[in-house]
Amino acid sequence: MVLQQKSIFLFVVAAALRLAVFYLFPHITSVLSEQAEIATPVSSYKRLLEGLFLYERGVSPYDGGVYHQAPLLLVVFEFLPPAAVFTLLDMLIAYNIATIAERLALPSPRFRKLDGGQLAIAYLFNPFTILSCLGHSTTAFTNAAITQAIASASTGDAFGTMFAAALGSYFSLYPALLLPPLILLWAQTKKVQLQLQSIVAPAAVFVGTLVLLLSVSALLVGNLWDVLISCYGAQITVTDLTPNIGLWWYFFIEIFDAFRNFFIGVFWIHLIGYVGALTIRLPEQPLFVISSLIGLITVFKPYPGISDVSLYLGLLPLYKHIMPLTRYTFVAASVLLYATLLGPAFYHIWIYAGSGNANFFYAITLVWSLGLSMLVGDSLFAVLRDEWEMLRPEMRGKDVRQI
Amino acid sequence: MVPDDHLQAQSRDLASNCTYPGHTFTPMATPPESPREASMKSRVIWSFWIVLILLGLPTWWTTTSIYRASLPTDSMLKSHKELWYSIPVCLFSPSVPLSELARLGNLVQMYGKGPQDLFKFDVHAEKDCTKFPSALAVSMEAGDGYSFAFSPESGSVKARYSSSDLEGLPSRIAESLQSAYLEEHASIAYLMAMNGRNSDAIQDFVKTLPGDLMMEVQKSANRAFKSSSEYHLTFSLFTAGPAPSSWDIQAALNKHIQPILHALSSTTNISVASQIQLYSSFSPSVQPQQTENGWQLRKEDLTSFVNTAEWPLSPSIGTGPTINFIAYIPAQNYIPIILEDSQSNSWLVPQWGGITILNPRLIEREESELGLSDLPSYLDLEQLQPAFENFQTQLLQLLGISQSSKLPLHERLKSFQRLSGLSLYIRTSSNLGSLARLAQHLSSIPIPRHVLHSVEHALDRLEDFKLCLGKTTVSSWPTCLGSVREAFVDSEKAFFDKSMVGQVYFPDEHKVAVYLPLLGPIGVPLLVGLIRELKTITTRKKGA
Repeated sequence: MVLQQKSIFLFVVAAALRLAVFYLFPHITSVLSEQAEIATPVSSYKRLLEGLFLYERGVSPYDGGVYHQAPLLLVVFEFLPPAAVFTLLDMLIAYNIATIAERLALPSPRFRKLDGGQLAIAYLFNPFTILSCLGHSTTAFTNAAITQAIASASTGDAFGTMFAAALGSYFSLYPALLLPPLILLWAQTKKVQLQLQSIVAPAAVFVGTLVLLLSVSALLVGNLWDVLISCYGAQITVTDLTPNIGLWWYFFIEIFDAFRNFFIGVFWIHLIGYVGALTIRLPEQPLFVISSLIGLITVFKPYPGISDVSLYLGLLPLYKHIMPLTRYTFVAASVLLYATLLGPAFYHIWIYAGSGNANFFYAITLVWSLGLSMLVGDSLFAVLRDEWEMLRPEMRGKDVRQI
Repeated sequence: MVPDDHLQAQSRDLASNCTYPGHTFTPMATPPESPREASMKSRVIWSFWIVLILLGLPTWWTTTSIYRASLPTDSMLKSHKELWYSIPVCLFSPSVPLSELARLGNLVQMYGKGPQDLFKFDVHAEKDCTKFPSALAVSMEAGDGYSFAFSPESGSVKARYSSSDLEGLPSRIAESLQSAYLEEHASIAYLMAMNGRNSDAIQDFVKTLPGDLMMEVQKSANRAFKSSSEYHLTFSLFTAGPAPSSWDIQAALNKHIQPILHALSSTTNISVASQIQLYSSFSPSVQPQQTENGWQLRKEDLTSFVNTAEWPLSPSIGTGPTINFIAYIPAQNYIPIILEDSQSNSWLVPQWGGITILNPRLIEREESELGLSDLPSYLDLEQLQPAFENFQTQLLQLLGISQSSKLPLHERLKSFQRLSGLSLYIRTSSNLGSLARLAQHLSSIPIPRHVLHSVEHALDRLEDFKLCLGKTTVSSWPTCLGSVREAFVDSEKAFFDKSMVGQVYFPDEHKVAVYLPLLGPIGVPLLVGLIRELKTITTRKKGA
């Protein structure tokens, strides 16, 4: 049993809190699902409803040019009540985090055994998590798939890992980037030497699952090409420049048309470049690589929302033993808090009040991204320092400088 | 991926062997890099570079390479230096045999040539000229004495000749034709001169023309819109007060405008729209002066009369220009407004439209004993008559249709069609020429495939039209104009293509600005890493 009684009680409280808000304030979803911070073009519940409307009437959900999400989500919401779905997804993510935490054992002398329930509760009661659940951000599906993949990998279940990773990639592509550290994590848990033969079967599961999911989608929509172009094409080429808290939309509004494709390539390659480097640099800490990659992807992906941040903030405490080694957490936390409060205000000033312009909101999203990257960079530094101290125990507590 | 056990063991050894007591640690002393760390570092650097080379290079290549279709620049630049122009004429006679008539036609054609074959009359002898509506029908009848007269209804010519003077007949007919079409020839000469075509011949020809004719041609060319393949007419009723609120626009259009449109319909697309705006006064800066007959607008007020801020006059609908016609009804206390020195109460704004001030009769209120009166709420055809008569002449002027009284309207419209065909031809070829020069001059602009297709299509259509101008195609004038219109539309499409125009303003130097952010913060660390890596490889090789 991963959870203790106290944690189970708090799980129930968290679920009850969500359901109570849905019941007492039925309009909260329509308000929150319009917030740029919660709903992006690829995770908006409003857009999903539009797609669902078309789908239920036998029209391709992508015909309106508004819906850019995976077709299987339509089937989910065709039959299930959204409030229950999103509450359950949050519970699942929290439970997965608890599983990961319980399984985690690191060689660092600073490491103490984690209480999974605590981390799960921290995730469940994070305001970002609650808000994105109330705003029905469909990123929750991706987050659930990612945490499921990590949880399976840390219990040594190759099939489950690959299945969940494929599901995540199916929902929003980028979880495919987490495959190298996921495989490393699985190998570490199983204590197997990684060779080509040992990853053939998992890779086959991944590809097979993706093919299966895509064929089902093609059957649902009636046209595979439609799905690929409107769902993944839109996510890759950033056709919808609705403002969000990421760095892409403003840049691609301003860029010269002739260079648009080139810079889309540059931005994606920049994101992909981290995967190899981080995995190679920290081969013994794949879990940290995964959580850092999630942090980096949250900063640099085209359509980030606070739901992505909530996942990163949910995984970061797994490495709470490195907290004493971080240097800028106070600044990073203050910057994030400051951006969280000013972001909606500046968005309102720009869009509704008309007394500000797009630069107000973009500036605050820059600050927000700066805060997040500080957090990622600082934790990375701390982990490297921790590794170094394991190598040279005599240097504990001494100042270091980069040379 | 899992580090080599051997290496790891070695690094552990190294770590335990080397001890750095605190007091000996100086900032200058750098701990030696363990082999494991070094190999990890180089692998990190290589992982970045592999992504860069495997993904970055192809991305850069495919997204920034420019597709340049090879345009037929030579034919675009020089195929249209020379032009010929002919006016089709059809001779027929109930009495003269066809062979005789054909001989006469050839002689007329010979005598009627302009300087250096610039213009000619393409004369044919036919049994039945009604089959060739584009041509001027000339019926030959024997009589006493020579005469050459246009019939105003049909637009055809009745030519009488005396059988005693058959010798001089061809030159006389040629002279009559030349004098009747002198204005058209002058217009062509002006058009060609303005566009730098056939310059020597034109110069010679213009010298032979009377000076005031050339002035008149120039004036009318400045008034008229540039030839286009389509036009939009907008008829607007602007009233300063609440009335009149309706007008019999359909009847007025049918009576005055529709006949012209009908005559032009085979060659030009003209769309018509109308609107009524109440409470739309003229510009506040215009102040009518009170006189004993009512109110007077001075000439200098006319330029600022149009209330561009409040009158909903769309600048242009679709591709062609919009011709505006405005009927203005003054407020009741300003009636009547009279224009200074004008009988028609109307004026023309060059290349924009025509304006008429209508002063409708006031209607006395039935129950009123004080003689109060109101503006009518409805303008019937009779009240609109003066305005639409003005609009009719203004429309002809704005389209560039000759005002000369020598030719009947029917012939003038045909002449307009020929002229606008030629003008479109010149504009098309100058579009193509500019595009060719642009493509030669700017080697960095993309030339998409569809631009090439448009250019090729335009060139083909131009070739068709050239055949029309030079050769005997008496019957196919509407087809000819159709092809030049297509050519014009295609050349505009090619020249103003979005993907090319954007790049015209994007010189190569700007690319530095685009790439610099990449080369700076991202490129430099990557490059330094690579250089260091290569250095260690070379030193290792030397060591080994």
